[in-house]
Amino acid sequence: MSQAILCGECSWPLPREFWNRVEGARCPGCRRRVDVAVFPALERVRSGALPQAVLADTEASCFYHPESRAAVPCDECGRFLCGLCDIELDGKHLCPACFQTGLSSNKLENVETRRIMYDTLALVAATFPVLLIWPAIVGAPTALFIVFRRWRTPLSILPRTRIRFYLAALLALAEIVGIGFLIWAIARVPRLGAR
Amino acid sequence: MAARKSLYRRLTGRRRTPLGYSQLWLAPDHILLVKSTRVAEHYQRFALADIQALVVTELPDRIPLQIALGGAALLWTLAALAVSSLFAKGFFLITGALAISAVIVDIARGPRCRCHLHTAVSRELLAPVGRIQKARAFLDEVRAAIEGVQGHIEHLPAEPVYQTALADRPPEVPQPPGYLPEMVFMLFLLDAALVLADLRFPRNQIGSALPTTFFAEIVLVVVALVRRAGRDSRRVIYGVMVAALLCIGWDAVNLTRSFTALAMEASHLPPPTRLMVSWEPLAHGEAIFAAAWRIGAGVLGLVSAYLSRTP
Repeated sequence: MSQAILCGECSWPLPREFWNRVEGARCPGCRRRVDVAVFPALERVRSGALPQAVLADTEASCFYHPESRAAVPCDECGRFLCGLCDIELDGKHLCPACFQTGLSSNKLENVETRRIMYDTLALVAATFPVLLIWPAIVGAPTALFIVFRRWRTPLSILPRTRIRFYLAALLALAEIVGIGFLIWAIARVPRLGAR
Repeated sequence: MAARKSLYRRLTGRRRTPLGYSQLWLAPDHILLVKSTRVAEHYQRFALADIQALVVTELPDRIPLQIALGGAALLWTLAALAVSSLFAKGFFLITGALAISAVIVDIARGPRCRCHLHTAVSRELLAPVGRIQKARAFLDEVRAAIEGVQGHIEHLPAEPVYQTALADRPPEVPQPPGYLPEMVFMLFLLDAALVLADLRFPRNQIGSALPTTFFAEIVLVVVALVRRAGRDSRRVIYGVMVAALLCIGWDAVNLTRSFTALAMEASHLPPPTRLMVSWEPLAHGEAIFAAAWRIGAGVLGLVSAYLSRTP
């Protein structure tokens, strides 16, 4: 059974007459104008495909459920899978183990839920410490390390250039040169009180 | 370096917060909600085939708030005329102009709204869709994409439907009133005790606490009256509070007067003189009045609150 369609302001259940009205409607609960676009998925009955039992010894069975008839092999490891174990993703059939492996190694872009933006991290390491001058001694090498270590790591799944990596590397190099010069200059200046 | 070809198309602008932003993107088979903390991105995907409904709810307008903010920003900017320093003039002009432009942009973006996406298992707030104008464009684009996957949506004819909706009205969940009024009346009794103690032991500086506790009374009474907002039906209690607010005002006037007199006296004396020890915040008659009305209001309010809670 589908869940109720609720008003976004007062959570009032919006009746069917309010759905898909071009001019919208007013919520009876809070009197706010609501536009409700309802789609056929609301009426769709969802049910999972149950695996079929193995009827003869000659039939291939599922690797994880020996009593279930195999429906498809895993596209990664070749194990036979029943309808319950088959995970279909981008036209490929995967077993739970391969799916988990792909998930942990970030190879399945379409199911990833989180990514670290290493380019932003490098840029932060290259910019914020230099505001206090001396922390740049740690910040600049850190930024360079992130740039070299994570250059090939996939960034956002959305369109994103590597301009932050370039900027971080340039800034970090400039800071290292600047700090080197500063140390050299300090070493060259005669100490106060020295004869 | 050019970015690789992405399967995503931008649906909305970024909804920025102090700690990041969120944004909606459209792929051929799903909608992607990105929540970014700048350093990390979190993704939520909604398959077009699974989306059951999109609900856009208009939110109340903020015209009074916008006018107040605009006025405050204008006054802030005009403060530049009242200062002589060039730096101060520049500061007031620039910050004031920024505040005014923020208000203008807020007005220009139009009425606010809230958009929820319903699936069979979840109801997700789409934070990037925050304005009606943008929501309409968003709905048009997404509706076409979802129709492409799920099929056509039938538009129902317009007809009066409120009676049906009211018939389906769910039962209201009663909310028990809070205990803030009881706290206010307890504070009245405590302050009455302080006033009387100050009257009995004038050299113990108990009266020095009175400005703070009087201020606490004002804040609590105002908060209790604002929070009531028609939800609490205990009218006697709030009537007592309104009357008490007037009496607090009178006490505050007396307190300010005595403190001003003390300050004037101190300005004519040499610095080491310790006048605060001998300060009497309220004269004898004023103190009796302050204590008496507090005891009356406190007892009346607490009894009334107790009776209204007793079935």
